[in-house]
Amino acid sequence: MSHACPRAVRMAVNGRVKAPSTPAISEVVSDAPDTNWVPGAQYATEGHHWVPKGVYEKEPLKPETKKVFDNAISGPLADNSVNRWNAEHRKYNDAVQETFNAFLQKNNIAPQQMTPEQAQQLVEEVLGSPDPRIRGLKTKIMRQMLRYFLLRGPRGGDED
Amino acid sequence: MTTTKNDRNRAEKIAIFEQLRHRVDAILEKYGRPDSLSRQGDYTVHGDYNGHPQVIAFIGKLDMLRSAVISELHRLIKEFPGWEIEVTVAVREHYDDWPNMGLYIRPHEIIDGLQREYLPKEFQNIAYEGARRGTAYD
Repeated sequence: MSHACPRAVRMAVNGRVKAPSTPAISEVVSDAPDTNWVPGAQYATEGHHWVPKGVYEKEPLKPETKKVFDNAISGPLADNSVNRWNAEHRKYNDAVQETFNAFLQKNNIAPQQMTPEQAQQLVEEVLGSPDPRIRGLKTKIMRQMLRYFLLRGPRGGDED
Repeated sequence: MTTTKNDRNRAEKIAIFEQLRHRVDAILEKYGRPDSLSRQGDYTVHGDYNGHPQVIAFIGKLDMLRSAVISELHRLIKEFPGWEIEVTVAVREHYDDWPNMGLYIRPHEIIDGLQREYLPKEFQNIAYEGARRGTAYD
């Protein structure tokens, strides 16, 4: 079963990030975090790896397969990503891990046999996952992507 | 392409982040098994730099909160002025019934935000040298 993958997220795969055209600015401003957020201040550079870097690095993947996961990244986020002892990222990792193991089983392969094409399929599965552990964090990340583009523009601007 | 001062600054911070997260991982690997894409382990060191001078470790095995482990992390962070290690308690069986809790390990202090009343008895008396009680907003 395939699930719709939001446009903004699809565009972010492989680092190809473009400014999404929705939603309205008023809606985005209303999404601003309650604390410690200063427009225009502090931007992260890399964003979020859709297949978490801290865990795929622990697998014996082929270099060209690993490269697919390296490049499957959200792109820059407006930075309110302070974690504050929140376990949400580990829950997300657990859900991606279950997706990965189901993928291996379905395709009858071991991690070291995964091809770059299969890695790309896995990324698409993660992005389209209806699992609330994945969808919840993905929604937050998409908001941060959107805020970044609204504040900085698609080329990221320059603070110098 | 012009390399701006800001780009260079970011690159430097990412380089420090990469160095620090691998060293945190090396310490934690002595005390537990890392999560991987195919296996549930005891901890994860977050791999994405979030723009803050910090490395986040999610700890699922409470033994890894022992003072010997935290002291080792504290010794490490003293080599990285201005950076911190955020230890987040993330126990799978208690994702939904424990509050957010953890530690900030900084070169000059440890902020202790463990809510010990939720922990099993044998962990309720854990104490860290140089620590003060605090919250996630410290």
